[in-house]
Amino acid sequence: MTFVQTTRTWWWLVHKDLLREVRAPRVWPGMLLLGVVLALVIEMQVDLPREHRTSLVGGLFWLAAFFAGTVALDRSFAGERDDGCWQALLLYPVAPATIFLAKTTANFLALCALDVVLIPAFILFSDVPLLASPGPFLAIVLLANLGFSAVGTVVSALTNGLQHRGGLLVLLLLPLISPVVLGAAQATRLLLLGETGGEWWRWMQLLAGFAVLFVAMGALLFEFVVED
Amino acid sequence: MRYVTTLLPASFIAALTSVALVMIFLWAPREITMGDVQRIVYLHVAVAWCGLLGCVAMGLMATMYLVRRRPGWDHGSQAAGEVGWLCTTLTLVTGSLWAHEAWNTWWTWEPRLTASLILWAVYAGYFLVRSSIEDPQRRARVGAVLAIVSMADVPMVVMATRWFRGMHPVSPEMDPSMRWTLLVSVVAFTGLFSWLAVVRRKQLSLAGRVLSLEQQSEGVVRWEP
Amino acid sequence: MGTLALGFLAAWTAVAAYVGWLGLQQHRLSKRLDAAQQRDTTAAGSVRSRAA
Repeated sequence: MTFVQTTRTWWWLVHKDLLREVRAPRVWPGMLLLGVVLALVIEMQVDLPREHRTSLVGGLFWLAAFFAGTVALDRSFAGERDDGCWQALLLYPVAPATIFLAKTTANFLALCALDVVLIPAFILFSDVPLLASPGPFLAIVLLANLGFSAVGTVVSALTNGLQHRGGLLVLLLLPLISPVVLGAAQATRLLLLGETGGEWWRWMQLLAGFAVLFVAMGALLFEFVVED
Repeated sequence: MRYVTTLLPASFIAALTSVALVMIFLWAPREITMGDVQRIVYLHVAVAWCGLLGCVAMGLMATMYLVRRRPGWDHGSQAAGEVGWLCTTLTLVTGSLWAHEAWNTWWTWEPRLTASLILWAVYAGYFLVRSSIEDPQRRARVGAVLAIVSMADVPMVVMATRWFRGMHPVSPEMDPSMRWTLLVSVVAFTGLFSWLAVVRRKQLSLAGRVLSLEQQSEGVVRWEP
Repeated sequence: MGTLALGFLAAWTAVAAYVGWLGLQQHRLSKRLDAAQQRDTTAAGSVRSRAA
């Protein structure tokens, strides 16, 4: 397939997932609700003076984003299986890598939607200006979401047919995604403290590195994931 | 033949490990600040190296499995993973004991330690998934993909001390005799754990053959009217 | 000094436990192998006698 054809197929697959979600929402509402509830519960428990809160909110935000985001990743392939679409999808002359990139994009967009809700929620409940430097923070969010969705898509596809699927996914995802969550949390913490120096850049490089690595790995490995 | 393939390597590794232990406990000088407790470092560095090597070997053999599809590669991958996980566990334990003496705490969330704990959890996830799949081919394939993705954590552990500020020692000044002891220790324990992995791989291959034999004979019995 | 001993003891115990576990697996495998081979020859024998 040519590059243009591949891109068209990719866009068609992403569009299909988004459209399906719009018409019969089963992933996004749960994810968004969980995000808000997590933000609420976390802020209820964490009662610290302003200075300490600033250094803590970064990590707490990404923790909430991770757990709520897992809802989206968990259901990203479940829908296909339930409707029997999976076999149909595999029968199409589509390269598995393209399916992977499409699923990753759909999950990436879901995570971004989650952040759109979660960031104001955290600003509201914790009174910490997360968006004080919007540019760098956006970079952190985009890179973290990319890495997260790439690994999440692979792991979700792998654990899809297994028993105890839900619990296994989170258990598996947590350690694999730790570098990304860690990088995002540390970068956010430093950003909130105003220290965008050498250390911040190193965490950003870690985030970027893992995002690229996971996307590349996913694209290469996906054909082995979808075999059956 | 048995002598060459089994006893000779085993004896050699046993001898090397003995030499390493002698060097660790008797030959290496006593460290100034920490005293004899410092000798645990010789074991700690060796098993840490083996834990990382195990993860890389697991991933590389998994790649070979996906390319060639010979079960032997999957068995090797699993064996390397088991031994690597064991080594990573020992790394955390010996490191924790050393930390208690050196830093007066059992644990701290500094980069190298955190990355090592993540590696331990990654191994755990790998085995958890493997144990939940019955079909050997499916298990091998899923395990292989996971093993390859797991390799991403290794650079994180290795570079954690160089990229980020932390407490873990990077390349401390060492007496030449200490360096030699460390080198021999690493080589000896790598040999020991590699040999252990090879033994386990052979066992897994045997298990595979036994399973297919059982399934075969089941088939023969079932054909009888 | 106690810490040093504890460290090496832990390592030795862990490796010994793993080797012991491998030994147990080997024992179970050889039993299964014997049983499977037994069944194989028995079944083959009965098929042969039936064919004859």
